Amino acid sequence: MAHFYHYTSRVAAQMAIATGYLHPGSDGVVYLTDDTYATGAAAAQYLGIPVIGPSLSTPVGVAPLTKPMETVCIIPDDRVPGLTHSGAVRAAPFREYSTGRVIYLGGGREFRYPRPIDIAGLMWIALPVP
Amino acid sequence: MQYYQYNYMLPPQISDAIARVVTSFAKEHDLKYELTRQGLPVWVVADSLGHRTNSVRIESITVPEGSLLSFTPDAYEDETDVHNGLIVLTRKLPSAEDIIAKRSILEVDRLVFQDTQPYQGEVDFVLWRRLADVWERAAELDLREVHTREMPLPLSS
Repeated sequence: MAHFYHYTSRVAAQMAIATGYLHPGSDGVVYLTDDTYATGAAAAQYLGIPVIGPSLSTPVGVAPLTKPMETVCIIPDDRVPGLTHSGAVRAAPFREYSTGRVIYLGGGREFRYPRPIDIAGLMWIALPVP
Repeated sequence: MQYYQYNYMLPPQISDAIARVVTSFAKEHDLKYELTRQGLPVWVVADSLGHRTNSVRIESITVPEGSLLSFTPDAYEDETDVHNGLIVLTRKLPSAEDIIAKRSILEVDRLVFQDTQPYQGEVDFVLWRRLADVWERAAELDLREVHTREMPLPLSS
């Protein structure tokens, strides 16, 4: 059985585990890869993951979540029906807005899955702290 | 570095207009598009032709002077090779200076100011013109920076 991987932060993982699903974000997709990275830094670098992400409404206003890559969910391909390994695109680079400089080069294999993914019972692996 | 924040509180009339324009522009030109990127208030149109990908990012940003929409052209060109069991990716990019020079800024207040009027078509037109202009700039970007990375072969291969 082949696998896909979802790299994310611990807080996002905790929220996903609480609901039992990886839900598509505001862009309508769950980001996956079939690349394996030994560190969160490598995952961020090759997948071009922005350093901040969605916002949460809090009593003191809107707070954007930072996106350290701290854990990876291992997803068997039978949990993502219709997704094939030939559907990868190379991840775009992530540039810092103010200077225009490339922070993460991208280039990793990226999949965009448009439906919630049942993650009940799946394994999460903690990534080493840089 | 300039102080800035992503602006998650864009008036819905404006974010709806951006989504409408990005969608219709992409469909008319047969492009890929993203209505927000990884949870950020960032909209993207992109197209790959051969090894080169051109794109425009529309970013909702707040700076000390106010809220703005930034239209940033970008591009990259990839070549991949397999060597010693690793994928060797060579990615060519434009310089940061070129990206900034070709960026186009639109002040959100100019659009919100007309909120009391039936202005949807006018806002769409302004956004469309700006997107079309910057899309042409993306194709003109010179890819001068060359980066090479080695990556593991995917386990599926």
